[in-house]
Amino acid sequence: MFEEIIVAGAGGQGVLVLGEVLAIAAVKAGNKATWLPAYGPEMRGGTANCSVVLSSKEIGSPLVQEPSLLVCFNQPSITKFGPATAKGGKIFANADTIEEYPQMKEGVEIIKIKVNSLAAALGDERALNMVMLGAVLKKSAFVTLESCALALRDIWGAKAEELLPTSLKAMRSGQEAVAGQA
Amino acid sequence: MGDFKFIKGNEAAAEAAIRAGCEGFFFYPVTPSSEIGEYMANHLHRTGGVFAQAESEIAAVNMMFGGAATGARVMTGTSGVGYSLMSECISYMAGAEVPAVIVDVMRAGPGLGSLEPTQGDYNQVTKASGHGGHIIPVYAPSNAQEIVNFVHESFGTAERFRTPVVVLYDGYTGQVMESVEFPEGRQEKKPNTWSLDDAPGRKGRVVRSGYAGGIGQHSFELYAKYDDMKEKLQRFEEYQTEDAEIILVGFGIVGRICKSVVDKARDEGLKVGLIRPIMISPFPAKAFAKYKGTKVKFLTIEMSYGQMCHDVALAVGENDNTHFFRDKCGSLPAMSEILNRLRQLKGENS
Repeated sequence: MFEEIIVAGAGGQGVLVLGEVLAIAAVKAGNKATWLPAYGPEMRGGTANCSVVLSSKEIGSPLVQEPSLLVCFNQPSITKFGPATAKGGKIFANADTIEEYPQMKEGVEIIKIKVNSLAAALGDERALNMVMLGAVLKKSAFVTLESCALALRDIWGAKAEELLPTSLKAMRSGQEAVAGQA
Repeated sequence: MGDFKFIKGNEAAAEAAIRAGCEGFFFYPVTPSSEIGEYMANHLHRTGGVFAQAESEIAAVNMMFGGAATGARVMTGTSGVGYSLMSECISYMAGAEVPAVIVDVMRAGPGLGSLEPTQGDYNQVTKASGHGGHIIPVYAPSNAQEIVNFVHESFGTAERFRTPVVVLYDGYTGQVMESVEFPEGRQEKKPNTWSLDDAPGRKGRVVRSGYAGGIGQHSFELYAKYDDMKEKLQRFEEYQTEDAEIILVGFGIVGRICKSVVDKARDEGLKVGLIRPIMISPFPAKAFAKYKGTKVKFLTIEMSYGQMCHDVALAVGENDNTHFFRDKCGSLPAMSEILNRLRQLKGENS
């Protein structure tokens, strides 16, 4: 396995946590992973993104420049990273906020999912990142929902009991939402 | 079975220090090293250690000097801007021969610069940690696991050679989360004959860097120590060098990127290898000695204007075979651009 992932959106959309869950879940399944937050003089209220590399072998650069998988929560994210996505790569786009799609490379598959609406329908808009995670799991074989649940337990610690049920529901909702897409 | 964690490089440095037996940590926050202090503030009490946030870097390093003089295992963390302020005291500690560990997480640019990662502190840390011409060991970890291993080990090295030791890495390496395994047990601590205590039943001791009556003997002792460090501390990793026509040289995060570049280059039939200095002071000249007078080309990659490349040129013997490549400051070198440079060098070969 070798996947180079960028997760991008606005601060507060759970972008960094989504990346961290993917990385820890991959490690739980016996792989190597690196997680690198966008790093520079931009923090509060701005854009947020992270690079995640998952690999069965030792990882070289932790910085992703040409993602094989891109997850976008808002318009600026897809405008910035969409064109950089590798040939034959996958893009998960939040259809609630993204209206314009830039020119992509050959064979890039775009999976559209309304994560804000789906999370709101579950009664917790904050779970939008977990809805997105469900979509990613459905369309990619590299991590399972079970290992993501284990990863969330690691990240949340004592709060996991309270937060996990909603997250699992949100992940399943995301899985179902993209099940029909080719 | 070791103890695994998925953790940031900076947090790994702090946790490794606690496990190695760090007894005092003195800190003034500066990006991108602040997580080290944050983690220490939260966790050092676990083992009964002392955490102090000082009013400045100068205060922090002098508190560390004081702690070191009593024989306590001490550490600080900073970035290049803070390292500059600490340099005077680091020189005093080198002169007084007290052990301490300093983690320098590099950020970009001279002056206040910016927060992006760089390797611009190479010369400062390996050659100019203050006045007076001392040499101090410098570890250059390339990932979170090496941060753990080298921070842990550096306490032992500091005590063995009675010297400040630096662990140097860039802001990205401090921010990347990776899984690491922590070594079991502390660094062994041997009783010493120099540190200050309440002198039970014997004459008091003095820890000093001043030799106003003449420094000759002291200098000779220091030089003998530097010879010993040069002999024992040259550390490097060789990868695919046996038949290599071009050898990449990179330290820290650039080293790990270059390793991937070697694999890609080999896939397209280029005979490329890598020498990755693991300690950059003393510089591992041994790794390069055997290539003197050969046709092997060297391409040094750095995230700076070019600093280590001069040590490489000195070790190989400067000639047409030593080359240098840098990318724009504040970002990691792109593998595709290093590959292009390699293809170009290969073309010049034939």
